[in-house]
Parts: sequence; C-alpha cells; structure tokens
Amino acid sequence: MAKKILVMSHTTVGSTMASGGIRAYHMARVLQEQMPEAQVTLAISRTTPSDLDPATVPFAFERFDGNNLGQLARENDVIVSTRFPIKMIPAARKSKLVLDLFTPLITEWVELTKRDPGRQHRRAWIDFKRRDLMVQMSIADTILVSNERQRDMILGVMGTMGMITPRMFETDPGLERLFKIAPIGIRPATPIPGPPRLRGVIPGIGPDDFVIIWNGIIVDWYDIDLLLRAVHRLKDKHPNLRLFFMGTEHPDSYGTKTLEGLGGGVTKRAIALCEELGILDNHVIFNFTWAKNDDTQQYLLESDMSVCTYFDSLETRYSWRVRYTDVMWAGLPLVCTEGDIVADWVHERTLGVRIAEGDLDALTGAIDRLVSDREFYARCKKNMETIRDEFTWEQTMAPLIEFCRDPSTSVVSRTEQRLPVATRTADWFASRVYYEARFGLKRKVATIRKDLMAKYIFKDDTMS
Amino acid sequence: MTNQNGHRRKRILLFCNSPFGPVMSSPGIRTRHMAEVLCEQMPEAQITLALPRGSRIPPEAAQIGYDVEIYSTFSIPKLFMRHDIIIATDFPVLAMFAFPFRKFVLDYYTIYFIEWLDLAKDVAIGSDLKRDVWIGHKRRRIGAELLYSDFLLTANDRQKDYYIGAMIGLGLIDPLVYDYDPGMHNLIEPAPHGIRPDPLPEHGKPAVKGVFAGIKETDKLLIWNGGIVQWYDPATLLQAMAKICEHRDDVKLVFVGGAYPGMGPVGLGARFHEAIRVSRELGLYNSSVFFEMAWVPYERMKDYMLEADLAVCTYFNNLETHFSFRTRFVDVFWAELPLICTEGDVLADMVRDRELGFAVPEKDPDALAAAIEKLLDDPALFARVKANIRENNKTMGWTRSFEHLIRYLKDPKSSALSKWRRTAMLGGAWAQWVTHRAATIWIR
Repeated sequence: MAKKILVMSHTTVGSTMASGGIRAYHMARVLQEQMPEAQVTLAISRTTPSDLDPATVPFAFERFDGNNLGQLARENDVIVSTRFPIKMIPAARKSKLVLDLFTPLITEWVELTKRDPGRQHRRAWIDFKRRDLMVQMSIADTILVSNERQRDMILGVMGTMGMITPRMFETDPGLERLFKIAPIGIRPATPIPGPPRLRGVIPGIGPDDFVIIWNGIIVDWYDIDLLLRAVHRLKDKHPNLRLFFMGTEHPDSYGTKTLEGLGGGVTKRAIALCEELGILDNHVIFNFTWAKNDDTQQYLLESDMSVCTYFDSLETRYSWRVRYTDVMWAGLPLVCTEGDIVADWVHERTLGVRIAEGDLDALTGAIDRLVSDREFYARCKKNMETIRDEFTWEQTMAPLIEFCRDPSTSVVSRTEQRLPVATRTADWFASRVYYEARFGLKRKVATIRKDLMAKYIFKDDTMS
Repeated sequence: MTNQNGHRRKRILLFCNSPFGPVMSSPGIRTRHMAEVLCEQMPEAQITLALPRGSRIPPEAAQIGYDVEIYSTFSIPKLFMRHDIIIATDFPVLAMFAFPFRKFVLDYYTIYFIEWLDLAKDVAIGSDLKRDVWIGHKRRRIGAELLYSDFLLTANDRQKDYYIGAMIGLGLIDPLVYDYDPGMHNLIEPAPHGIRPDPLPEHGKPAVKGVFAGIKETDKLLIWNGGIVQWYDPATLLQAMAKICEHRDDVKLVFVGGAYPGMGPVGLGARFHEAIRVSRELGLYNSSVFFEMAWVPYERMKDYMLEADLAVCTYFNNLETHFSFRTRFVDVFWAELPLICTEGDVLADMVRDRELGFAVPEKDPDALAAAIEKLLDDPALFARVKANIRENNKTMGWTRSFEHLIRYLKDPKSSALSKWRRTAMLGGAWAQWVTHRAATIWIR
C-alpha cells in the first residue's frame, strides 16, 4: 500500500491543458478519491506557467526543479510520470516508478520534427530521445499504455532490447503486471448544456446551423485539405453547414505569437486554402486560441457532429486521441479516417462513419449522410452515448489504483536492471553530448542572434 | 540491380534453411507455396529455390517454373550475389557479405522471442544463468536478422506492431524516410499463411476410422492436428472428453503430429508426455483418445483431416497466443472442418466473428464439452458452419497472403535505414551474437 504518491506532469496543468496535463490532473484526482488514506501530490515544472489554484484541488500541488527532484523522489512511494529526469533516478531507489506511455512518443517525435531544418539534426535529436526512452523503459516498475496495440508495440521494443527477462516472464507470463492498459478517460462533468457560447456568439454560427466541430488544434498529421474540400463540395447542398475549428494555439507553445507555435504552419496553409475556396468565415470558422475547459464543453454540446481526418501513419496507428474521448463525452456522431483503434469502433459499433485515407467522395458522402439522414444520425448518437460509461476516469485508471494499492506486485527487479540502466544511461549521455556539440550550440547562437535582432533592429512585428 | 533495359530478368532467391522432403514442417510448406505464387504472379522474374544439402528436390519444380539449387554453408555469399532479391526466414552470418549489394526480405511469421521465453521453461537448461545467457544470444540473433531486412513479412497485424516496436528500439525506423512513407508500408506488412490451393480430394486410404483399434466407422472423430508443445493445453480437452465419455461412447479424439521434423525434443516434450499421462489417469488412453506417435507427412495428413468431423485445439490465453497465427488452423479450414479453439488469437476472433466453429474461454472443460456436443448434435448448425467456412476460404488464398510481398518485389523500394548505416550496425550485432553464442556453449 503506497502512502505517498507523486504524479509528475511535464506539460501545464490549469484552465488550459493539453492531453498530458489533463491526464496528470485526473490521475491525481482519481487516485486521491479512491485512496483517501494516501497523500497524492501533483507536481509540474517550476518554469511552466500555470493558473491552478492549489486550494481548489483535492490533492497537494507542488513545483519541481533540479533542486527538489531528489527530495520528491525519496519522499514518495510511487511516482507516476511520462519521463523521469535522469537526475531523479538515483534518489528513486526505494520508490516504485510508473512510466506513463499513453502516447508512444517516438512516432510523435518523428511527426513533430518533420518541418525542422537539417536532416542530420533531426536524426541526431530523435536518436538521443530514443535512447532516453530506453532508459525510461528499463527503470520503470510498471508501464501504462492506452490500448493493446500500443502494448504490442512497446513489448516489441522491450523484448528486442532485452528488458524482458526469462525470470519476469516466468512470474508473469501474460506480462499483465508489467503493462497496464489505462487510456485517457472522458471529462467528469455531466454533459448538460449551459448558456450558449457558440451559436449566436461566435460570428458566423447561427442557432439553426449544422455545426461540425474540429475539437482540437491542427498539426502535421491531420488531413485538413481533404476536409475543407468536402465542405466546399457540400456548401451549396447544405447552406447551413458550418465547420468550426475549436483552437489553433497549443497551450505548451506559450510565449509564441498567434500561429507561430505548434501546428501554426499547417493552420496557415488551411486558412489560405479556405480563402481560395471561398469558404473562410462563412462555412469554415477558426477560433484563434486554445479553448478553455468550460468553453470546450459548451462548444461540444452545441455542435452536431465531430470530424477528424488524418494520414495513414505509425502515429495514427498507435494513437489514442483525447479529442475522441471528448466526442464520446458529448455523444457526437463521428466521421474519421481509418487507421487507429477508435476508427475501428466507429465502424463496428456504428458511432458514425469510418472513411478510407484521402477518400474525398467517401468523406463528402459521410457528412452528407449525417446531415440528411436523421434516423442514421440518431442511431449513431445513441451508440456514442452508450460508450461513454466505459471510459470514465475511475474505470480507465483502475489498473493504476490497483498497482498503487500493492506496488510490490511489480515483476521488475532493481538489482537485475542495475547494469542495463547504467549502460543505457551512458549510451543516452553519449548521444546527447554528440547532439549538443554538433547542433545544440549552433541552435543556441542562432536563437540569441534572432532575439538581439528583434530587440534592436526590427522593433515592430515584422520578424517571423 | 533492376531490369536493365528490360533485357535481364529480375532474379529472386527463396532461401530455405530447413531440409525439403516428404516430411515437411510449416517453414518448408510456406516456402513451397511462396515459390508457386511468385511463379504465377511474376512470370517475368526468375525464381530460384535454394535448399540445404540433404533435401529432396520438389518434383513439381520444373513444371511450375522455378529452379532449385542445393547450397552449402560457404557457397552462401556467392549464391546471394547471383540474385537481386533474397527472401529467407533466417539469414545466416555469411549472408553479411552480400548484404550491402542485394535486397533482403525477411519472412518472420512468429514472435520468436516470446516463443523462446516460453520454451525456456520446457527445454531443460539448468541454472538461471544458463537460461539468461541462452535467451540473450537468441535475442541478439533476432536483432541481427531485423537489421538485415529491407522488407519484413509478419503473420498478422499484432506481430506487425511487435516488430515495428522492435525496429524502433533498434533505431531502424528512419525519421527521414517517415516523410515519404509514414505508414512504413515499404518496410513491414503482414502475410498470413494461406489455404493450400489444391481442391479437397476424394478420401483415400482410411487412416483412422476402422484402422485404429477402438474407432468405428460410425464414430464421431475429433482431430488435434499438430504437435503438443509447451504453450498448448491438452489437459482441458482431455477433461472435456472425460465429461463427454460419461454419457456416450461414440466420440473419439486423435492427436496427430506429435513428432516434429528437425526440432528434436520440442514436439515430444513435457506437454506431450503430460497429455499421455492425463489421458491414462482419466481412463481414456486408447479407448476414446488416441495418439499418432509418428510425424505424418504433409500429403498423408489430408486423409486424417477428411475422416474427421471436428477439429479441436486448446491452449492458454497468454502472450504466445495473442501473437500467434496457427498454421494448423489453416489446414483445418482447408479441410472444411468446423473448429473449436481457445479464445485469444486472431484466428479465434475470426472463428467467432464469422461463425466457423466456437471459440471457448481457456481452461474451461465444461464450455468446451458443451461446444463439442452442440456442433456434433445440431446438424443445421453444423451445415451452416461448413457453409461459412467454404465462403471464408475464398478470402484466404496464398496469392492474397503474398500481395504485399509481390508489390514489394515488383517495385523494391525500401523504407529501411540506408544500407551503409545498417552494414556498420550489422558488424556490431554479429560480433555481439557470436560472443553470446560462445558464452552459451562455454557454460553448457
């Protein structure tokens, strides 16, 4: 039985949160509720801005930095995090570490660095991140994943890299004590609409319009072109069709100008295409911010359906999109591209329509069907509402709670892992040094130069 | 080395490292079907089958249109250099010399690592240290094999996920290639075992009914077609048989194919002897449950299958099951036998979704006995299941299984990490493997 539990988040927690923050927040909340005798602490980095008021949350709230990491590690019996800083590892000898791989990071890194300049730079960066992940996997006492497919993939990494020993397999042949399936849950608020914040409030969206919500930001792996072309095709048949992009600014891109942060480039191109097709602001409406939690809920409840189109990629294959849990919460019929696990459910359980990658006709047909066929729409909505109960945070986090109640069930042996962890850390360190020596310095110089130029030469906003 | 001016034919080598002969296990069978499909689908290419010494040259080779070569260990580099693309289930160390110049396709249709972890319990290894070293050297072998692969075939999507993870771990997913091929379709694709193409023959020489003392022509026959290895659970089936035999004596079970060519004690290991012991204890041995002790040739197996009424197979719902694609089930479908199996693998899902029989929970003799009797006693259900199997078989041919392979062979653009990077890694990987191999031998 763990007495003190620490949930670490490397992304911000507060009124604006992305998936990592949402997950950490609810993990801490559910753990504290289900284990009232334990003390649960949520810690975020000292440098991350956050408007969370510690008095309003049921758990303790802390800031971590290089100085108090060791102390935090020693104080807590169980530590849950998406990454354990290397500094923390020696101090965490006695505590159990739960590695939260709710998103298989590597596929995401590869996507996110797509537009970065310098091929060798990108390769070296991913290489040291990969080695870091190997360290993380080998120190973890248990690993949280979102679904079976992710489990299979991570098992492939760990099996091939020698992190699964015959002893572990003998004591736990299903590896159920090593891997726990704990996906992101749905928001806890009851889905009851409040005063309108979308219809009649956001310019361009009226009370009788059919609103399709894109409930998330736009990043590289989404196929926005296809969606905009489908809206363009349908605009004459359904003049009241509206596509609403809920947000464009990622909360972790704080400090950047509008459309300069994560996904900014893709959003700019989407806007350009809208202008070209003549659908900007009349059929397609962008909300140039990151919607606050309350707004998001209200936007979802006022919408008619949700849509998400993406490319067939490894990122898609192993993802568990938070936006889908929101769609489940609001009970909206969904049109999405095939490739991830939810898309298969959409097809099998009739939660909406699953389309093939890049199939414009299918997408147009699917949206058209949901707008016109009321009976089909009602059936999808009803099915979506039944799936809601399967994904409450209490349910999805049950395996984590079970582990915290008895952390000794872990099959990982610290003595067995000592040598692999040491060699992998050395391995990571070498690749990190290589990266910093070759690219890090150059990048730092470039940033400083750019800042100085912005400060003294271009005083207005012409710098991009 | 593609076709130059369209004059030279693309040369494809199918490299087989288990001997061919009248007695063949699944790797050999798979290679033979691959040769057939490639000859049919790629008439413009020259297909060669390379077999180790001591193999019998398949008599149909000339008629189908592929060449056969017999190789020895040291002729491998030369043999590989004479071809453009080499397909193998296992590349030998010496293949390294041809690696920088030729395309390699790895046909990996099992999660060997998990199978070996499971086997490590069965094969008497001795101390924990020996076991760890043994697994360590096996694991490094897989790492080296994955480095070889310009294109990788697995048996199903779950295995694909596992091997994508394996490649990510080894640093073999190239971030630069990801932009052009984000789904990695030019690197890894599933190619499940197909159903043998020959039509269901007329029943030949009687094999079981009326031949085994105790099995009458009118009896209902259940068949277990394949070995009884570590991860199977014959005990549950035997308990279910004991339940059925309490009130009727017309249901008989035969285990065919315990012995496994080229694998020594694996087939006749602890589980096999356990099965015999349990059947003796339950008083079923040679009265209701029979064991065929010899390995039955691939061709002769047909006669056993045609006589049977049902196929059964029970195992544990563990990781091995989760990833497996059991070739024996494909033979069951070919013979149009309703199948009763344990839940957990992809084919069990198919059996349940398409009603090709029943998938029952693990270690549940009651559910199993009920399923067996239901299928045997309900002729309408039995007929419907048979019809479903016939319909489903149309989607499971070998040609369809190898469609991704053929796509790759026609346009061999690989998304793997560049050859020169991998060549450097390969040297290290083999050096590691050799050290661990030496350690395994030394501490034995």
